[in-house]
Amino acid sequence: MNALGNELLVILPEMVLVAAGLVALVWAQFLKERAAGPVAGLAAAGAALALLSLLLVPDGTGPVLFGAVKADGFSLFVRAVLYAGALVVVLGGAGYVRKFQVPVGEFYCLLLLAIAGGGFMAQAANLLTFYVGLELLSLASYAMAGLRLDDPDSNEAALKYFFNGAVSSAVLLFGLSWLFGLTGTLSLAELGPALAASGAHPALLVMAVTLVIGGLGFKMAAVPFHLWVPDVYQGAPTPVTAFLSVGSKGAALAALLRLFYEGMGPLADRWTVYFAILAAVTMTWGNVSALLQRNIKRMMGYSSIAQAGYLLVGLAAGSDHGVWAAVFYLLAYTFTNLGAFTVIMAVRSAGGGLDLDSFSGLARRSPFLAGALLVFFLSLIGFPFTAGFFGKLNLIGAAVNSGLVWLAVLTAINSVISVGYYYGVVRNMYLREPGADLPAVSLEGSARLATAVALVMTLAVGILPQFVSWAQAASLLP
Amino acid sequence: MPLPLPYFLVLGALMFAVGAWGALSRSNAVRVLMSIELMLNAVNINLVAFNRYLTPSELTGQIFSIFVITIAAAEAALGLAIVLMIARRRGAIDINKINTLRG
Repeated sequence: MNALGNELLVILPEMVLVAAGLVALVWAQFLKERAAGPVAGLAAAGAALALLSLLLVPDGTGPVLFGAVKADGFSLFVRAVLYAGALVVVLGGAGYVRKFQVPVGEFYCLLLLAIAGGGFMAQAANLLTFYVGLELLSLASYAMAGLRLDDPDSNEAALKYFFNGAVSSAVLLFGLSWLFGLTGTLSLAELGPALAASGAHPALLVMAVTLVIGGLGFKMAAVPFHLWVPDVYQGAPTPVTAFLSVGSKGAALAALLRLFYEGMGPLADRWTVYFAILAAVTMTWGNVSALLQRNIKRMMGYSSIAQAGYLLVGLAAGSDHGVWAAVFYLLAYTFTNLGAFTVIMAVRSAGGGLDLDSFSGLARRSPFLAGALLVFFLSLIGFPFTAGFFGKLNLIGAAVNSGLVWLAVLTAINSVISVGYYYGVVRNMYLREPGADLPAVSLEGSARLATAVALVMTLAVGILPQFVSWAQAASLLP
Repeated sequence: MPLPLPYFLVLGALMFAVGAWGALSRSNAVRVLMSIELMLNAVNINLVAFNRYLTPSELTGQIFSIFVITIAAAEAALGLAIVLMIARRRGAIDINKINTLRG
């Protein structure tokens, strides 16, 4: 019994998240129209508690709970990033949820369940946990995309996301069933040796791996599995878009790293080339398409596709350096992107639109928000003294160390391309006069806190060296 | 004498292909849902057959297929809820005509 208690400690943060989510759902039904404030507080407390309870998880625990999960440095780091991200989404989105009457209980419940699913993907020790975590994340995300029932755009986003997502999960699952068939095991630790020893035809392995990459590439929004991204990002309620851009992407990255680097590490020379090509195409396509957008959420959608490309560089490197560079970039990207979305939500909740002109003269209407958004965009570009700079530097270093000089150069070129569309917004904020019809933007307490947290983290990760050593401790090597 | 393993794998692959073709080519949302269901059942055939022929002493694949069945049910329920929401608002469930979001 005591042994089981210790094993359950490994999934304590997820139990906290699920419990908080279910309580939020029920409590909101009792509070009815007064629910928005208290339930948001409960959800924030749940996410914060989950983050704190990571401290209680015994580090270095091998596969426990019948081989389902394991608590290593990698899973602790990724879960900390995901749960901190969920906290920022709750704080930053509270104002939007109240203003646009998103169903309160459902939103916070689904958000916490989805992030718990992401946490399970990050700590999965076998393919079954990994699949169930993925579906928990996905099903909650589909429902969240359609939460604004009276908004046709939100309906359409849910429909498109659901059908694309369900097909891609089925494709992923077909790949997993073949991996099981080729190895006779679901355990990630036994996968690599079993594959190396298996006498099966290489074409079968290539087929299985391609199907799995397709399914997870969809979640990560990698080109060519990105077609749903712009429509869903535009149509979904903005806090949901913010969550999808980091939660879904981060969990999928963790799953890819676990499955390929940990599970199939011995075969690295056979799969890194796929990820190098995927990374190159994804970042270039995302950045070039973002240049053409007039809607800020679509622009951020394509920008997040490009960021997925950067994250994949770490996987393409196929080395331990690549792994920690990728999770470090995930840390930098999470706070930076959520900060940018918090500012976008504040502008939207103040009555502004979502086209780029709504940001005209933001520097006069709210100097704090304009300054914050400027820092977030600089970090997304990879400007020195921001989180994105070290993030990109480490990824480029990992690519060079693995002999992928062309990919490193392409990453740098892409950072330059991305200046084009971020600058468009910055120019509107600082150099254009605010139109007469644009309202002044005031910031609610919780959104102010979320922006401040994101801002501090973006600068701290870019300046303090501790974060790099934490990421290095998140290595997947035993 | 039982059938050899490849028979089941070919059946699974064919079912998956039919499901994928249906999911990509149909425009009626309910038919797409049915096609997705077919793809997931093809996975179940694979899992159970692999389990029976490769690791008959363990039940790994069969347990996996039970999870797949459960999650497929949840997925179908959510999918039908979304389709119902669309049908109430627009009076039609032709997914090719629900296309107002573009750049």
